Amino acid sequence: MDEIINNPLLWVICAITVAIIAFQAVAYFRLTSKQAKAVGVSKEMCRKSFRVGIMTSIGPALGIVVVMVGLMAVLGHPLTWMRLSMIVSAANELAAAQIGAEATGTVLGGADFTPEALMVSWFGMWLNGVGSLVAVVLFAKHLRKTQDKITSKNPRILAIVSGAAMCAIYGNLSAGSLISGGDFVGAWITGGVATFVFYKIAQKHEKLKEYSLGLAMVCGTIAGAVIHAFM
Amino acid sequence: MDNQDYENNWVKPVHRIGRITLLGVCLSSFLPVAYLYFAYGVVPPVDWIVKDILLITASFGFIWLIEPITFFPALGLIGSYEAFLTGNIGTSKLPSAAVAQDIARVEPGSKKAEVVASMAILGSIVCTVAFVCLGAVAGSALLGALPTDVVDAIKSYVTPAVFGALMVTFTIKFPKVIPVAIGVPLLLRLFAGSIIPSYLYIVFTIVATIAAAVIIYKKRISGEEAEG
Repeated sequence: MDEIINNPLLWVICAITVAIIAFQAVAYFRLTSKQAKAVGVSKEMCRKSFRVGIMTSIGPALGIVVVMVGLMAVLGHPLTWMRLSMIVSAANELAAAQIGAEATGTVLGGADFTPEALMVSWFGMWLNGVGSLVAVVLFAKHLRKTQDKITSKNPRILAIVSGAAMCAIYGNLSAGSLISGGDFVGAWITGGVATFVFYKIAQKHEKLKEYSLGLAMVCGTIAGAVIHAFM
Repeated sequence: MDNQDYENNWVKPVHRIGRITLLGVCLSSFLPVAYLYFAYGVVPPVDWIVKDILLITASFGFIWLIEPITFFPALGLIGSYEAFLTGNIGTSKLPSAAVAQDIARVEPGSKKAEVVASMAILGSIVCTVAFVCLGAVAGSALLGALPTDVVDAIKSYVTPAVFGALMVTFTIKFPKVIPVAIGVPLLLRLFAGSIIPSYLYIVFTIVATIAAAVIIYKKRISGEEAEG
């Protein structure tokens, strides 16, 4: 399995996607620089904005690196590299991979996680990414109009409905963990409790928000391993 | 800058670059799946794939449609193309754009604001992708140095820990719907496991949770109650 998921050829294949992302960044940087001149935004302001983007993202990026290690163990390094470069929501990627494994009746990273199951997991992650990319391409032109229409009627219903959908997704995935045994339940509860504690602390120390998920994951994983050792 | 110039020199190239790169990634990100087939002859049973498509679409289909719409006013046109290609919108891209616009003192939605937000999001993309590249390399070294017990623990318990953490995150935002969001799939698993196929759990859960949310947050939706 390791030979399949960490093959040098796979690194090359995954590099194509990262290259397209780099291409977009360069093309948009040049276009935005040109537009800045045309609408009267100074070079100094452009540099400052770019720097703000970098500084604001260091924290969440560190959190991603922590989550990455977990994903890489199951899905391999090159694929994780590619997936997290394009859709940098590690939790979402994990959920998509998990759903893929569920469709095959196996456990992600388990002994019965065959190359066939791996393929279904990768396929699920691909589909999840493509769904939103295609939606953006299809909608972009009409979005201004659509948005105006919906929000002029009721700006709040969209936030509630999409929030509820997210609750349902993670509720359903959580339910799967909850019936898997004491060590899994322990990891789940500890991850949750840690998140709540970090949330409370982050009220005073805003910076912590960026690391909260990564740290909660470390706490939950340790708890799961400790309980497993005593079982 | 008149509207014709704005359209030709900005909106059109933004669309063109956005479409090429987003659709390009749709194709290129499929290559690893093709690799499994061509390099190792892996062919999963068709019903696994069908199930996977149903599950993924049921789980995320709604979000695919909702997110581009809900994030659009905050990100703008170029910001949407940039942010949806690289993700992490809520935690990095939006905060970057908002802080930069605040510092630049530009009116949100203006032509200047678009430029400032685009620059900030580009900075965010560079930062995140750099860290992910570093993680892919240094993370390897880290995993290689770790004892197998630790790697096993990461394999088994990271998933439930993340789900627990996210559950609490959403509980803080939408406390009243959580009993439905987690109760329905749990009850289905415990009592309907032999009757209802597992890939349908998400459908029941989403329908029940959205229905509950619309009823519970009726006042917030109609604007009689401020967001909590």
